[in-house]
Amino acid sequence: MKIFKTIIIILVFFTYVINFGRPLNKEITYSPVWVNNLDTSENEKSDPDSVIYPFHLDGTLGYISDIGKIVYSEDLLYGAVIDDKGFINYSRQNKVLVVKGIKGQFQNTIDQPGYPFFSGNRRFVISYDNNSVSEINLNGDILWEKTYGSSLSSVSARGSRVFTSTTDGFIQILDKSGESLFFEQIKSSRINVVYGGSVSGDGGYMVTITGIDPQLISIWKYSENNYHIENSWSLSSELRRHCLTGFSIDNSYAYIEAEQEFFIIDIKRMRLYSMPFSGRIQYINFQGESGLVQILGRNKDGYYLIIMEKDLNKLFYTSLKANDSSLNIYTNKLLLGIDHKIIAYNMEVM
Amino acid sequence: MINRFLFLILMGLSVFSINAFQWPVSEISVLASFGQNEFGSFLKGINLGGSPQDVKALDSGELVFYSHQAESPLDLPSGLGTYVIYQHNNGIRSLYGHLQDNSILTDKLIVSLEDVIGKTGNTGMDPGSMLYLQLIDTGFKKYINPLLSLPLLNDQLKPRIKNVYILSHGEKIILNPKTNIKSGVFGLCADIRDSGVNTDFYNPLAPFSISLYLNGENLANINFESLKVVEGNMLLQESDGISFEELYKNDWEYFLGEFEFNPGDVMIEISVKDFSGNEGVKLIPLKITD
Repeated sequence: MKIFKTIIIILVFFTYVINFGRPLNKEITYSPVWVNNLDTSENEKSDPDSVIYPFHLDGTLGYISDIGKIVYSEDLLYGAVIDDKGFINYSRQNKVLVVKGIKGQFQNTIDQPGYPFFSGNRRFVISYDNNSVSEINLNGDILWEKTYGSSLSSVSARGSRVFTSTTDGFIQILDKSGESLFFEQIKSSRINVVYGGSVSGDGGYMVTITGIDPQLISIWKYSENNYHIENSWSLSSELRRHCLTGFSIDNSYAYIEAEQEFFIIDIKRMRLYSMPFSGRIQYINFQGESGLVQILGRNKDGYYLIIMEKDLNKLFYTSLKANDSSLNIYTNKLLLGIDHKIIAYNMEVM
Repeated sequence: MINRFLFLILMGLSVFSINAFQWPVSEISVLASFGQNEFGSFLKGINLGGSPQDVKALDSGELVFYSHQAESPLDLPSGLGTYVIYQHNNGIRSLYGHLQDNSILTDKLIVSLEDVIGKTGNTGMDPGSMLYLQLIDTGFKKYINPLLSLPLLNDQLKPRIKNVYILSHGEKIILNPKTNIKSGVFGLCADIRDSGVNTDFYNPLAPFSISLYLNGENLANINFESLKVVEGNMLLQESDGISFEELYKNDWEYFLGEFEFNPGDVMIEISVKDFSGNEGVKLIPLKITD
């Protein structure tokens, strides 16, 4: 009788495991590797082969090595853009922009008044009045310039394409040489305006947030040499500012930062996920199908860090006590800036 | 006097055709005018200076877009700083730039004439306290000189034509009645500066219109009324589509065109008007030789 009872229990257990078993949630571990205090650090020579990361934190910008040594740093003038090839530290008014390399060495000048903007490993200058954008190569030459009849509301580059939009509702997709692949005014709403948009890295899709009454999030598909709306979702028309949009690195998801919400769209299934969101995104890393969504946000209460799965299931949330913060993620390394400190973590997802 | 009267009537008609808007600030001083050379391109609005003050919309309207300066490193950098855009009747939009951060009214989507929509500030590329005002006709897709739709300014100062010169084989020859010129085809340029309005320092502005007459024949007219993007180029629309590069030889030097000067007596007359109808005229009699 006892044996029979044991067999029944084992059978019930295996039936449950086989039929109702659920995978465990992912577990992420962040192990601190080093911390660098920018206040006390001095520039040090680095191994020419060592990996170098750009940083921009608390009025300082420069490069830090994989082992936490400052390779180069300088004080912020008015604004700055930086990537792994160089940086532009600019003043409020410039007739010429000076590009420097990772050790602070002069690289070239850009003879174009305006503010620089780096996106998708490409370099742009936005005119002071926000109505024109030009792309600059690494030698400082102007490759092309586009002028619009109203203010630009967004510029973003991925792969070989550049997305631009204006506050009077125009969207343009440009190829590598600045040739227009798509140029259209979105007139599906009572008021024509584009709040943001991006093109996917493979050029196959575009995400936009446009109009007032209705205010629409749209996914556009590239086919027959043109972009066509594949699906749209209506919002409450309360957004009136630029919002950040983009695609996951594998192009399988789009994301949209709206007024009080954050959206993710699964492109394959055309499914929209949303969650309440306050403030503005300062940094986002979204690998796509295989990875997590990692966001540094800022609202009226300060900075915060969120780590989520792609269906917006929150894995981790913490507020950061900091006047300035930055986040950069490189494969399995996370560099978190808090005021004048940069902390490196090794990241492992299990 | 009659000319000025007619000019004011025409201005009044222009105003009527768009809308009679209110000034967005109470203390009015014009620091930069529409079409002026600003960092190598046309200024597409006007800059209004003065001490920090409240800003009201030109007319009742609906908030279309706003941008706070430096909210996120992922935002587009903007020389306009913190700015707002309102939609008014007839497809007209107004933009207010360089506003104080955190001063803009973003929780009221429909504003009336009395609502304070922000405060003049120094955000963006201009370090002094000011308001950048831009007007866009979304129907005709062009930037309109805001002074066309605002109450007339009380301005008594005439625009000044400092120098008139010709360009001959890359050389600049300043013209005066004693200048000896041989016949040929020359580019004609003029250094023109209108006086700033209600400023207590020297602050030149672009004029509203420039007309050129050779022996009484009207050969060129440049009007700073509207700007439009045509095939990717920003053009002064009411002036046969002049681009910035064609018009500006220097900050205040305007290229009026290329003309043939034949032997004999030539009278060059340049007439320049500002927005209040004040007119500056320069007459240069020349003797052209073979």
